[in-house]
Amino acid sequence: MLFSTDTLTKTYGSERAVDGLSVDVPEGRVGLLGPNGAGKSTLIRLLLGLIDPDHGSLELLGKPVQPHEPGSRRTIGYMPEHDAHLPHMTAVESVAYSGRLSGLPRQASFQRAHQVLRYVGLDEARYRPLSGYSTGMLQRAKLAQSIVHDPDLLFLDEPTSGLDPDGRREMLELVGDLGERGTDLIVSSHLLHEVEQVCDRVLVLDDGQVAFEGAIAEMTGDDGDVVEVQVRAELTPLAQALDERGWSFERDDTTLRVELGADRSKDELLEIALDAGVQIRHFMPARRSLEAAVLGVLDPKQRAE
Amino acid sequence: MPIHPDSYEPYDGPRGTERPWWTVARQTLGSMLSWTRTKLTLLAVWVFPALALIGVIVEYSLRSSGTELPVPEGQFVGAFATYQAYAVALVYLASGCGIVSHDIRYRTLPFVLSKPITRWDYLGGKLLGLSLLGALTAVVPTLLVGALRLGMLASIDLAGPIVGATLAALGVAIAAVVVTAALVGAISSLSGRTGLVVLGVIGAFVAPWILSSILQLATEAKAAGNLVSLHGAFSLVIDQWIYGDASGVPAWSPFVALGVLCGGSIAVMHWRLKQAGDIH
Repeated sequence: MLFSTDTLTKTYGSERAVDGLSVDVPEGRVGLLGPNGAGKSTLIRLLLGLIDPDHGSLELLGKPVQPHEPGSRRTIGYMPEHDAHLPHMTAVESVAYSGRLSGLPRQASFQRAHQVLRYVGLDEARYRPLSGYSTGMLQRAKLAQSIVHDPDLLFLDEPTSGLDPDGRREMLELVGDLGERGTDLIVSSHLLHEVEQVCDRVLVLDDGQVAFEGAIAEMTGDDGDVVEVQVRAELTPLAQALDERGWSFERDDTTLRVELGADRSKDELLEIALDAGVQIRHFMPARRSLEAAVLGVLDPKQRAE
Repeated sequence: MPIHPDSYEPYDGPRGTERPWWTVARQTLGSMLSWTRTKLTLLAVWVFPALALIGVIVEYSLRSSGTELPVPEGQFVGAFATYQAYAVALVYLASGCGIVSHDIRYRTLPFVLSKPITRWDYLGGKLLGLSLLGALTAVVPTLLVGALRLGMLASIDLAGPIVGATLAALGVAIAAVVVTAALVGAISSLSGRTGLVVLGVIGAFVAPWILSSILQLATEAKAAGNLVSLHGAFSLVIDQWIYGDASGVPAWSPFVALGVLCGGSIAVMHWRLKQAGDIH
């Protein structure tokens, strides 16, 4: 398991940031999603051992998370959303310091610092103080700080925050590359299409509780549960026929997205279309956007907001 | 700035070989020593010890040439120890106020604590780093001047009366380094605005001093008044252990005052670090 929580609770004053969260997330590349205040940042801080839970327990990579026994964090990397560097330090100093804090010997940490700064494209600027770096360069330096010790698991909090389109593409390329090399990822981001690019699973939080945990394909209907139908003439007869039989579907001007589920088949859908007298010209497994899928699992109040 | 995905290699070397508190201490000291203001302040506070070294050599030359001078007593050592306590405060004020404050201001604290490091490692490393700077300011000069003077006076059989005073001065220098570091560290952990921390440290030095002056004027209890300020407590230690003056308060009382201040400061710092996950 990547991480497991059991009735995990964290309260700030009267507000429950994480509310009895029980979830098992398998290893892989996981997107951590949810609206503002859903508990994403609190969960990350709990997993990193930065704060103690009020109740419940949590395990990361099979080991209990205990702030007072930090040895298990040797193989974990964390790239925070905000800048996290002392501006008078050069990139090499900062990344090497991060390596030493992660337990690498002094000489190895400097060697690794040079290597990962080249990896992220900062090799020519590595001796410059970080105070002179652009936003994109700082974001890369932050990634270098978080991977200098070659972690097994990397937390990425809004990794493309403040980047221009080219910068976003390159950052996602790097993150994707790390994932392909076998590094487990936990990516917290508001940009769902980016999560879709680098992750294969998502954990959606809502009001401190699990709204969904599973594969992105499962959430967006890639497994064939949703079929996209277009007909030659009017959609209305088919929509009415499906409605009468209690089928779930979404409709826009030209297309019906019909949910099949476990007890309904594509053949039945084709029969209904035949009975309704419509001529089908497009019939394919549909794929909802991750954004639509996430909105679908969130609390209706949150959706309204 | 092209990226180079092919240049990444896995790391299979050793981990956990360096003590995290030592890593933090080295980085803290290295950062402070890299600043021009630290170098200038250190140079300024080393002027007096340098003059003292010259004075020791001149004293030795005069005594060994037969010039009649008074028997050495604790005055020189006492003045030197008093100076060192103030020198430490000045260097910490110039360079030490950001030791935790910078980590809050630049949001590096949660990042650092996400590493395999405990809060005590971080706290100990920060205080050790600052104390090493303090040691360069006060302990090393006290050792140099004290050892040279003792050595020279011993060669003409005059060291005896000042051995105890010199050791006491060394103790005062070490205590000043450690207790003042704890106080500055605690105040530094309270805010990410280093300017406020500087004002706080000045206040922590000056306000108790004013309070002790008022107490002394109001009660005529000069020694007891000294107990409420950092440098007052050091002056009591110097009076008792170097000058040999009975100051009117129990001999242990300034040590208790300094111990409470040091312990309280470390407790405040640890309390703030426990909140580190919510400092962002």
